[in-house]
Amino acid sequence: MGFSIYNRYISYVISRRAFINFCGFFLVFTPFLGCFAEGKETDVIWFLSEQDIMGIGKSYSSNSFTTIDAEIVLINGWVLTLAEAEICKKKFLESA
Amino acid sequence: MHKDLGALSKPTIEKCDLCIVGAGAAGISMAMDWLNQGEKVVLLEAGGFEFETETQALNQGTNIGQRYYSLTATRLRFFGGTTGHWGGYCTPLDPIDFETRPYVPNSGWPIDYDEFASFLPRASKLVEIDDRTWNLEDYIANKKDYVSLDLNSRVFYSKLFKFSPPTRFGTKYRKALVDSNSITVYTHANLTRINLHESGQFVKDVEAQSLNGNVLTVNARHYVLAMGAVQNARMLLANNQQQKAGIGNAYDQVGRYFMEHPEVKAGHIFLKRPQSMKLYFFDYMKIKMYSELAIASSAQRAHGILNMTTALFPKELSGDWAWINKLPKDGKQSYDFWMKAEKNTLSRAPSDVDTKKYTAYQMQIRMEQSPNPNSRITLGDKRDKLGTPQPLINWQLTELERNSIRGMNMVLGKELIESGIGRLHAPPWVFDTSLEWPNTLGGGWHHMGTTRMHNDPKKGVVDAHCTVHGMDNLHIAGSSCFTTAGAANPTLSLIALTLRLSKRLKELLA
Repeated sequence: MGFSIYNRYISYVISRRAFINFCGFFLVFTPFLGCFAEGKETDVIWFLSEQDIMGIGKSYSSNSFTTIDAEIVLINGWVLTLAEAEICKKKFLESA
Repeated sequence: MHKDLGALSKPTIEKCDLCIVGAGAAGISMAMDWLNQGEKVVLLEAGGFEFETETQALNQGTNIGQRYYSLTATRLRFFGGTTGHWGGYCTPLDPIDFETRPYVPNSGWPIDYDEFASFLPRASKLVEIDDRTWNLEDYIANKKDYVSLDLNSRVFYSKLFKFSPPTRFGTKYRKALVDSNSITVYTHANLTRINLHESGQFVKDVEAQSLNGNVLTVNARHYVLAMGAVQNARMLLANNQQQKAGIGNAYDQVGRYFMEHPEVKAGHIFLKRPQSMKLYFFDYMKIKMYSELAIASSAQRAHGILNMTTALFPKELSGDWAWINKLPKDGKQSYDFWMKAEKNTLSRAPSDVDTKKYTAYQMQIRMEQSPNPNSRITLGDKRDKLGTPQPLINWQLTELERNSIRGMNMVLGKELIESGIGRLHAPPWVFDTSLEWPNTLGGGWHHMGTTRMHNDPKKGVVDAHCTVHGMDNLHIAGSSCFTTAGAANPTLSLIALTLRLSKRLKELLA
């Protein structure tokens, strides 16, 4: 019986510590998580030049693209996600 | 033993059990299978033991189709044949290549993959590669720096290529053949006549000539033509003295379905994160294996796409080279180019560079050509020095090749996104099939399909045993028998098919 109580106490301490660590991790790192996520606005820069972005934005705005499936399109020779095409469109419209 | 027909002083007649015409990869592989077998074998080689410009000129032909290389450059006419400048790429045909695919007209071999594959271990030994597995993951299990791109294997996978040293068959197997008591090697013996028995059902004898006019007649129980896809078709068509359309050509099939492996630069992939790409780095004569991205059989069927692979070269290093724009057209210059490349290496991605450094890669596609009866070898009006009509090569591609490249790029682009690996960009001609092929389109110097294998004599030249339809003792070895071409460099597979024919001949001659 005594052994069981001790085990439960240890579990409580560990889970409490784990919970505090878990919360702490998010408090510290949440501001940076966006850098690693897919589909963020800055993400197209790793493979598209500014010129590519404007060209894709222009084509997408004028419906000059091919739909590959619900999420993926072909624009100006690039196979892209819809989200990426939207980013290019937004940048193109902002620059116009 | 060896005899030089050019040096013989009088017409000669040889009687033997088996006459093999052509001492290239197929002819020598077959001859090596008959060492110390008891039967007498004659092996005819058109050239000598070294490159000779005058003999090489006998390969001359005229291109009347899709832009192509010079025929005097693509094939070598001396002992060892085209293995004399072979790059050494080895990978077998895939199981899907043997299937009848509704979206590929004229597809479907009369034999299945397993039967073909049972000859791969022995073929591997002849080209001096290990035969332990063709599964890439098994092959690289203990090589930590070889990492394949983590794609959905039902869509794309990394295909294993092993590299032969490359085995120069003329050098490697010359002594064994020349020292053999049962094999007589004739050099400078160009096939000029195939004489049929009156019945037209079997070959009575064949004649060979040297350039200085000496004549050899070979009377054998069985004959194997192993001269390559252009010459096999050419000689069957040219021997039309007894059968008007040529031998084995009652249904106008000889020379048709000429296939190459179209090779073309088709776009770029951009990796999201740098990773070791050593597995995909090609360094001629230095590497023992490497990999290309291949579209999986299930994806080929789902999208109606021909079989194909793409090599990946760092964009920064690949430049805008294309073999078809770079290689010399003259036979001698071409041969010298390859010999120089062998010594100095012909590297497009040196193995000593940091293979994690690059994130942009040029795609170099090698693809199956759909079997097309209008892509063919015929005879022209010009004749060579021995009086044989020169070949006309009419290489013709179809919409299926263009649609397949388009489809493959779409499927790969989508897969790169879904796997989180990267993105794909391709030039306009890839996705707009109304545009012309780019000027980087060439071929791998892989000649296939002019005497294709088919059970129906109206659809092929040889039967499932590689015996010419309607002929009892005339057989064909080599890639001219391929029903479809797959996307695999053909040497290993044509040797496997030759060994299969050899086994059959042993049964017939027993």
